[in-house]
Amino acid sequence: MSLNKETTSADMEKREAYSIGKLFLMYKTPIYQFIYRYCQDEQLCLDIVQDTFIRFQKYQKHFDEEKSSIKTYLFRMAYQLMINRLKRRSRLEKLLPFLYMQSQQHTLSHEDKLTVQSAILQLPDEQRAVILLTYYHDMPQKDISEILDIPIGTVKSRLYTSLRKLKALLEVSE
Amino acid sequence: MSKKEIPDELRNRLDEFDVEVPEISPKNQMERLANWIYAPAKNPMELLGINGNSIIRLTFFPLILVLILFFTPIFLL
Repeated sequence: MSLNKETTSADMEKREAYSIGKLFLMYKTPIYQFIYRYCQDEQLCLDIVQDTFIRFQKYQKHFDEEKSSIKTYLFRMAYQLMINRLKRRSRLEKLLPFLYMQSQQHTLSHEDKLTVQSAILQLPDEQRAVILLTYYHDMPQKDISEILDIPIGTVKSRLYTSLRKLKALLEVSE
Repeated sequence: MSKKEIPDELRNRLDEFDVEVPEISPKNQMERLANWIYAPAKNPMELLGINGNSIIRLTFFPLILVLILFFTPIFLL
């Protein structure tokens, strides 16, 4: 009976530590920044941040703190949601290209001035996430491999390639 | 490779990408649906890429629609 009580109080403490309100306050900013730097679409970022926490609330039971940290878990959720949304959008773009005509024209008009924002957008999707998580979020390669669901070796090679590409795009000397 | 191993010049360029985070409040699905319904509708002319001076498109889009309506029964027979 006492053991049962202890487990229940431990569960309560755990639930308290991972209360959605606290987590939202703590991680909404880094998740927004990561998503924004990746896709540079403000409305999509706002949706993804909210969806991440709605999804976390739904699947909170599946979170195992021995397997990964809460930060990694939330970033992984946000990344998966964003990739799904971007895939859906690109499928829609192929079906109804006239809906996206204006946004493409907008992008083209800014191409003459290569800023760090546009250089990051020019990186292939799989390399972009690695450099963003390494540089802006200071994440260890093990965590990045969990978020992106790729081996650590792939994280290393993608980081190396993306840095080389960024140097070339931004004309930074070695 | 870690963050510290990135050359200074590249780090300075990467630091230029600052993100301002707007006020984000936790919303439930119903609130989001309500916002989506409440959001102002887009001008259908904008969706078709028709601006004030694109007279050719403005003329051709209804023509194409009429042609589609005219030819569809032929294929259905």
